Amino acid sequence: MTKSVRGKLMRGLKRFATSILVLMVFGASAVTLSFYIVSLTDEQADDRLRMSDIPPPPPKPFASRYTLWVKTVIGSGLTDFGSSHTGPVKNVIANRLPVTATVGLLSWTLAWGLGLALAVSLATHWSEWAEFHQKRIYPIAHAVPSLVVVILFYLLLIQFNPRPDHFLRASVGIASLVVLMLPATTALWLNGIQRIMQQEYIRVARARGIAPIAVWWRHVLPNVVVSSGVLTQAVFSLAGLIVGSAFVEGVFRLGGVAEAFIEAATRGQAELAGVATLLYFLVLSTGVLLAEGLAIYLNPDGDHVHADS
Amino acid sequence: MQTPRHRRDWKSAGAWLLLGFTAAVVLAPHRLTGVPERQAQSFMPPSLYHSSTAGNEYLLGTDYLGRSFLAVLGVAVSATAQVALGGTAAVLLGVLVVGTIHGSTQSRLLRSALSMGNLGVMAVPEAAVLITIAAIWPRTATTWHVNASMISVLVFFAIPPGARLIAERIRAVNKSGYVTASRECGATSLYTFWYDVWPHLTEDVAWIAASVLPRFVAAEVGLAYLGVEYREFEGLGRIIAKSFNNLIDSTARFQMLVTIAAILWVALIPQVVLHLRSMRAWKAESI
Repeated sequence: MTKSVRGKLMRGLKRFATSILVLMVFGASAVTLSFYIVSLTDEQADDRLRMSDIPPPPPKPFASRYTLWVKTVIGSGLTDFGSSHTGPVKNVIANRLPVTATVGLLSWTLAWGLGLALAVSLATHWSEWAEFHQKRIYPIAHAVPSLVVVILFYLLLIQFNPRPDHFLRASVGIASLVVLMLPATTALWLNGIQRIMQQEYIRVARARGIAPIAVWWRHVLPNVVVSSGVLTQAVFSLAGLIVGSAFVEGVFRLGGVAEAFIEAATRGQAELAGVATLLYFLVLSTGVLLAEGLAIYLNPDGDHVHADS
Repeated sequence: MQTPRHRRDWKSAGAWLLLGFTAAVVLAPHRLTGVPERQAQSFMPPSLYHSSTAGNEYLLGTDYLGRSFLAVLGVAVSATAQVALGGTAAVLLGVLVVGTIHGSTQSRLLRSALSMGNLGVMAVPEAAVLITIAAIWPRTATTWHVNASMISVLVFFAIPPGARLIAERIRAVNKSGYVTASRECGATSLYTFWYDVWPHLTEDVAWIAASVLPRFVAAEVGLAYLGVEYREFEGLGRIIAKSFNNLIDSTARFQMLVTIAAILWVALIPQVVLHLRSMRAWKAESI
């Protein structure tokens, strides 16, 4: 192994280790904070307050409740997440997570995949529409509230099928999420592609007669992934989708994690809120580490990726 | 290919008309109609297509509480737009103050704070924070405290990305020769900012406003649907949530579509303003 390769590897590992450290600190703080905030509220106590003159007992102290929860979670090897008012948290998560994860992963893959395909088409065959997309379609789509799009999809669905089954509701829900995300993903990909296409090395590669597919595969796409912010945005959007697209789950009655989180937050179920936050950061951390790994693999130095041949 | 001039003029006139109508709706309802009161049965059909036999005619029907839907919609558009405009104004103020300080100084502390803020904005789901903030206030808390805290969250989430954009622009403008010349001629900082820097910021400020205002609309509408809305606040979110809960009723469905059109109207108003700006720029260039 040469000295320069070893140096690059060390720099890459350092970046990776820093990312892990930052994520751990950030995640632990977020879980503790969400547990603390939610443990302050007790809607049932508020209800009792309205029903009688007797003052309700104060909520359980945060420190002892949090310590017990952390001990339970770590002691069980991440198999027991404590109990909330509605029963063991692991049951709530086990029932709801598969739905949310399926909806989130499918819509994320489709939105970013179709976004890339559309951006490549706009950069090549449909270049006369590229400016129209970036200046008109994307800003307008960005301004439309997501709830409105989801409701419109639902209305469309019940026009054709007034009693849709779970599969159909989930499919149309995924379609609505894809339509919501597509303008933004296309804009991000296209922005990166257009920037890279103007680079000198792309012109040189073309002038040297390298096949267009090879130029795209070896020069354009790796540089877009590394330098355009697509990776970062994709990772954060995946984490957001996995924890729940509250509107899609609510409007299409899919019964996902987001609804449970909202109930947890409004009813003082700190254990459930803590697990939802932990889940979010686990997905986020996995995504960030994969993205960091990919970025380091493609570009250990932090500059543009371009092969010599 | 350029659009013919007469079509641009028509578009411009239409956009101004729409803006004027919006301003009238945002400012008028409370003064002219007051808070709508119950007058008839819930979800009476609109007199637009179904004339009432009882003698009461309601252009868009009645809402879930038996109030004239047109009046309720007017008040809701006004309330939602006022919150969105107020919040956007607060964001713009924050963005300009932080961006100007960051762009004019070499403060490493501010740079780190903004970088962390940007990361936080991307990493922390805004909706989750809003739901948590809305939920922790006890029922006895004042409406002002609850609503102000929720709007503050939205404002804080919007400031870091905008401030970074403004700071970069100010740094680029400050490097230019005419700003240096203006300072060397003895112009005050305020004078230089107003006459030499501000004209270069207006486009960025317009784009920030156009992206921020819809977020306030979306947050109000979305939170109301999720049941964690602003307290004692009747905006477009509550209307759409109530219509959605009564989807079986055809009047509710009709009113939901009308509400969706109203939401799109409020959320897309900044795009109309941007369109007007681009037309003015085109006219200035053609002169």
